[in-house]
Amino acid sequence: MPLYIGGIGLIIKAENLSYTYAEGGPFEIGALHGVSLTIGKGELVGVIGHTGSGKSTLVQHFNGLLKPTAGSVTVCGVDTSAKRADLKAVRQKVGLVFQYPEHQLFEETVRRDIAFAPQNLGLSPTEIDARVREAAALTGLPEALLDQSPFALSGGQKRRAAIAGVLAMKPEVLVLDEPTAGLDPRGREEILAQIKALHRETDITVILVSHGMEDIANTVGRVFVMNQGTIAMEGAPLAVYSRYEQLEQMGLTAPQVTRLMKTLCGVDVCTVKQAKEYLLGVLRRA
Amino acid sequence: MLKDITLGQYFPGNSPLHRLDAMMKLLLSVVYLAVIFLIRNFYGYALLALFTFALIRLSAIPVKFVLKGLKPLLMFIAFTAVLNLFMTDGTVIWRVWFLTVTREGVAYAVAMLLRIVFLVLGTSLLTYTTSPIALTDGIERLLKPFGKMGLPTHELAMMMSIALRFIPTLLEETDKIMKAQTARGADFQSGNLLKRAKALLPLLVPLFISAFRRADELATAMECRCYRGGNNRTRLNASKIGRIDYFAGGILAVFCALILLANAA
Amino acid sequence: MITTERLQFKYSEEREEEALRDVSVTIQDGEFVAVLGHNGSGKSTFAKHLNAILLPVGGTVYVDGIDTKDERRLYDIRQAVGMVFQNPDNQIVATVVEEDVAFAPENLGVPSAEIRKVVDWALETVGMGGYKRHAPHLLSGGQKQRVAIAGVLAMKPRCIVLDEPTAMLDPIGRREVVATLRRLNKEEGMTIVLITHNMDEAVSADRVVVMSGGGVVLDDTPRKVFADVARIKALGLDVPQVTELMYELRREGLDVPTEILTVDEAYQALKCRCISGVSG
Repeated sequence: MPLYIGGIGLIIKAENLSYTYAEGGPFEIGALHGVSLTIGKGELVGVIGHTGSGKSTLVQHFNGLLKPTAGSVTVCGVDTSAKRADLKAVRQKVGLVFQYPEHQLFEETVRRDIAFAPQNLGLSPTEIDARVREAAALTGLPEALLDQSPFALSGGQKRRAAIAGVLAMKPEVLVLDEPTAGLDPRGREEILAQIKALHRETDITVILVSHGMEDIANTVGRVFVMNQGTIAMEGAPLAVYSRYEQLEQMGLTAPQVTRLMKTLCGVDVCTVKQAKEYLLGVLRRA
Repeated sequence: MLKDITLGQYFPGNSPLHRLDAMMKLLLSVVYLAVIFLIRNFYGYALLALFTFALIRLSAIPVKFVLKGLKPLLMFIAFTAVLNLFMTDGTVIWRVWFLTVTREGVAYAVAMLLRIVFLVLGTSLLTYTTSPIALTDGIERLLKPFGKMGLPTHELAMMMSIALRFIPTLLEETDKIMKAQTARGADFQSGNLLKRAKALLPLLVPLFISAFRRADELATAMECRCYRGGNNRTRLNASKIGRIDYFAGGILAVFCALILLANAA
Repeated sequence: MITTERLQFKYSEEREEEALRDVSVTIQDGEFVAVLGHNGSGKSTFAKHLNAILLPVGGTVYVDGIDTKDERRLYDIRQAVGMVFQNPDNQIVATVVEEDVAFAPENLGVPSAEIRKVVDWALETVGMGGYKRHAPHLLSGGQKQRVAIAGVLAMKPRCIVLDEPTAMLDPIGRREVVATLRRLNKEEGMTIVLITHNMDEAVSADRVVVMSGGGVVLDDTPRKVFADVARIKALGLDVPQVTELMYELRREGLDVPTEILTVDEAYQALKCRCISGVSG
């Protein structure tokens, strides 16, 4: 039984979802084979897997950018595989932030770039303005930057601006594909803290896609591990990471402390903090 | 669809046609294409068909695959043929409403149709059997005499091969940006022409920025690998015109002679 | 191999801030040096000085005793110090792997037969010998980056500088590239300068140079550098998890060694205490 951290109900449900790129062609990588999963409203989940495991293909189904070859995906009550599915509505409800999202910035000012999505929704200027400010605040982007060119920002700021550009749609679900790729350790920590704060302060559902297992361990409540187009494991980070030998066979690297604590004391941990607390308990007693 | 276009694709292999020197192959192709326009009668076309078919067999490329190259041009071929059929003056053999078909028109339409078909088959055969890089190399060497007149032949060839290298990368990038903007509610499909052109901005701006960034990085990387233009450059696969190339030239000469003979018949 | 003396650099005249301030570093023949620093610390600017892509505003850079400002020796410098960049897509020139690897020797005017030999050797060395006729855009990130390394190896350089070569790769690609570098260093005696902000990669180096604000702030073995956890974190960088764990335990008053870099070392250090702890 899946556990719902937020508790209220389902927001995404995939049943026997399969997808094949260019059927019969030589590029049949990253296809999905019979994936079934449910994500609860308000959850913060992680999806991990190496390149080509199907994780990016999977999340593109969540906002109707891809339609299943077989099986079905229901998002916010809309079956995206239905012939006349309202994909525009789905795309507004599920914000998808791609890898290196700063590569999509195109407007003259940050403000106008963030306004792109609400403009496409046909909102009033006052509503657009309010949303731009709100999205900027949620991503920790200072107001003073809003009238600068997005191309003048630093790497971390650009990424925040791009994420704000998706948040301005007020989606119910936010999917982030490798939000920390290419950032240095401090930038990575800041973005992850911002995502956690966003999840805490609003009732948004967040799906974090990554191959950095440390990032995921400290952030999410539940993890899906993708391998060869299927869900290989699912559960709380602690339970999943304890099977680190299997994870390594799938091309992933378990956190150092997980490996250490398993061989040392036979216990499962996934963060340095957990390891420290356990060891302090044991060693202080000695 | 993009994947239907086979013209310009390379079909790897090791047939005698693949092994011909690229520059020689280019030269011979030009001769072949010129000969098509010299043919005056049925015997000539029969000879051309026979010769072309022999070449396809020699290249070891499936005939079906070669013929597929004609598909995207079908409309164009039909249009030209129809145009010629009705627009040529001469002895009327058939008349319907305001359309007249003349004897000369029929002959001309058939000739036109055959010419286009063989033109396409000939050029496809060239690109199927020559890798893009060999082709650019061949063009560079072919243009070399013009280099003395100030034509930047090496630079042209380099630009062509870099363009070939980056087409798949930029296509992939286009796809990615399009998806990302679609996720923000962009609509690339509906609206009138002006609206659609405006909708392309969120795609084109990031694409250009990325292309410039790539160009900049590539230029630095090339400098790091001691690139300094075409002078004193050597090649991994130094192309040399060998026996097989002279032999091919000989065969084509015989073919030309036969065509001229057929014209006289 | 490479010496920088009070190297200074500015990107533009108007801007006051310096991209590099008095950087004096000596890199020995056959060394594996990691240059660590957060974004904007000046580490990439430093790297670009090592083969005369950038020339110092103040101070001097010597490569094999040649001043990089000496224009007549430019190609000697570029050949001696090869450079690999972050995005593998933007450094591959040709549509066929072996043609790309041949690019540098072609530029250097090496005869065809010898190019063939050096291309085969370079591709074998990075473990890509089976991909000679492949199209680069269909390879994985790690494979592309190894082709890029082979492309530099084909110049027969004595040193390779890599500017964040793994930043865009997944864990498998990272492992492939780092293993390749380690092999090049151990088996071919190649001098390696690895610019990175990934501490796991820096651990495998002989020496770590930490940069911040355009200057060198730490320069020592990885063991000594990472033991200073508080300092490294203050610089916006990270340390290996086990190093952090040992540091935290020590701060809580436990007498554990802190110069620990790998899981194995941590295991050895904690083993007896834990077992006695559990049984007691």
